[in-house]
Amino acid sequence: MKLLIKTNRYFLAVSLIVFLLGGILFYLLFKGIIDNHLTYKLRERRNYLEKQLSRTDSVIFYQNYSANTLSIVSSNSKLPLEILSDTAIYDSVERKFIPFRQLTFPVANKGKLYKVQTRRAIIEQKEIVAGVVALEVVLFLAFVASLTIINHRLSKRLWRPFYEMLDTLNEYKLDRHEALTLKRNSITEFNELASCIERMTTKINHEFTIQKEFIENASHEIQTPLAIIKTEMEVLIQSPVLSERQMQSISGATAAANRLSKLNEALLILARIENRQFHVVEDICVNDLLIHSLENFEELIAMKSIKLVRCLQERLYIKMNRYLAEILVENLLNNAIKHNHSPGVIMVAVEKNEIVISNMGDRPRNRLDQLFGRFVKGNPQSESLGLGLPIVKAICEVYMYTLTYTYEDKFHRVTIGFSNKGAEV
Amino acid sequence: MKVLIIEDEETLLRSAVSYLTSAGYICEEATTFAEGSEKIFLYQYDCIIADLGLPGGNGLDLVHALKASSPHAGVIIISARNSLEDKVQGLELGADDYLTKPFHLSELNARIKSILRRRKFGGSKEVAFNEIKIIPDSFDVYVNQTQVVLTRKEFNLLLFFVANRGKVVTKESIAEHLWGDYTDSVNSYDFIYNHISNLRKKLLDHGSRDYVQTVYGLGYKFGEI
Repeated sequence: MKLLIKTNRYFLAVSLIVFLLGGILFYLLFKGIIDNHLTYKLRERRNYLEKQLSRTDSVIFYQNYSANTLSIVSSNSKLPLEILSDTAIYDSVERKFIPFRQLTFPVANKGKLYKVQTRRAIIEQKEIVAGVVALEVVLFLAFVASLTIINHRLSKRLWRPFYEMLDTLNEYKLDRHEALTLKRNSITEFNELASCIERMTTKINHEFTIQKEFIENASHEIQTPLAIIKTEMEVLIQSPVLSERQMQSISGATAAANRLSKLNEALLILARIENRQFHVVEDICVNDLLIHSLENFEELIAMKSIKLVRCLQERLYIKMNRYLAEILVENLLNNAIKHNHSPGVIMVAVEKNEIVISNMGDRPRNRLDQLFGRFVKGNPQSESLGLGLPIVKAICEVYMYTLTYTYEDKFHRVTIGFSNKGAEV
Repeated sequence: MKVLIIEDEETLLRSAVSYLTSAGYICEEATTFAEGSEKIFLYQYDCIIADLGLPGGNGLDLVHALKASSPHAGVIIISARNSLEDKVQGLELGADDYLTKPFHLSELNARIKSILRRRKFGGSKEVAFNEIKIIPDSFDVYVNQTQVVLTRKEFNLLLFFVANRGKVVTKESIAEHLWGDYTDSVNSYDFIYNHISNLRKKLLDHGSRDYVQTVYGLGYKFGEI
């Protein structure tokens, strides 16, 4: 949930309570004011009536004045000075009882005592409530509307640096070995966040580089002992007195040493690609590269009875390190042959800004997203190193080429898009 | 043929010397930069094999000094660094070849042979082994004066075998020699078998004796049985 929506929800919840309380207070206040006013008006009228009645003779005239608002009856008993009371009188026009407030007071006229009652209609409670509610609703709506507008503005203006920062972070890639710089702005919190993230990434970058260099150095260090093992084995096998069992042992050890050495070589290449150590870039004709590599694989293709379909009419030139370009193509072709049927088909196509290498083959056993992972093998028993596609992936990442893989109708298809030509290595 | 091997890793040096000596070279050794430059200064060699990372200096400087004192000697650089820059720099300084560790001794031997052959002025550039005659420049092969038509791979294989005659060469070293570094060795072994049996058949058909021996599980040996 967005922060704004969340804060808005809290705002709304709190404001609802406030408005509810406000409504009750409004109601009480209104009612109080109206009551006071009513009483005040009644008393005013009493003064007036008292004055009028003291001057006139004909109380009767007033007696008939208005049944609803005034009644004057003669009274024998002694009355209290003032009685304020609420009553309801049936209104024959509206056909309902209407609440009235009445003020009862005694008036003496010509020695006779009268009980005077003057009344005013009370504004009905539900009318007040309706008024208050209407007011509240209008206020509440206005409040929500202004809140929304303000928040929208705020999120656009105040939060903009934050979203910019997010964009920068989203685009940031650790393995590109670039320092992260975030824009500063007028908001202290965001600036603190920016410095914090920058410090963190610098540290991570540093650790990352050390790690990569360690892998590379380790691989280098492993080369020498491996060279010794291999050469010693080679000297050993020249001995004429070896038994078959001994040769078996040597053969096993040699094979393992070779495998180790290949593995090490592949890891070293991978580390060096990731450490951006292939600086020399030249113009390479992809078509020539493919043709040359395919020559190397000629026998293999023939042996597996693979039909090779080439569509190389479109000429494509890329700027790239030659060594990496060769590895890229060799790995892709090697894979296309290795995971092919026999007899099978390989299609190599150069299109505008991309190459497509597709081959017949069984459905991959691994999940698609794992296919380019290290040491992921199609067949766990195979002697393959499981580093071919990761190397392809690493090269594509360095040059920002797009690498896509699909499996459709028994065909594996790898596409490399070279559209990002401005790669820096 | 006098060969100087400059390598600080003594075990590696020892096995290289042992292999190359048995292949018919007279080997001298040096383990430091100083020792290497002294020997280069004092004696004449046909070929020098120099490691790049030496105690006391860089092998590249050694190559430089060597080219100044005895320009006719062949130079092979060996290095644990498979770096294109080093390779280019080494070759520019006049090195004839560049081998990355770990390498096969049979490969080193084949490279030395090839360099010596190329550097041999005036003399015959043929390689002969009993009734087999190989002319590397034109890729021609003769058995008892009749020409044998070989594919490029078969030719390279034969040359590699003859260079390492009498030695057991492993399948891996053959694969690397024929296909280079990046070919999946798993795939290559079947071809090696194919190529060897084709080569063998062609040689036999032209009246050669059978020189190819299978060494159980390890590889092959080319030589008189």
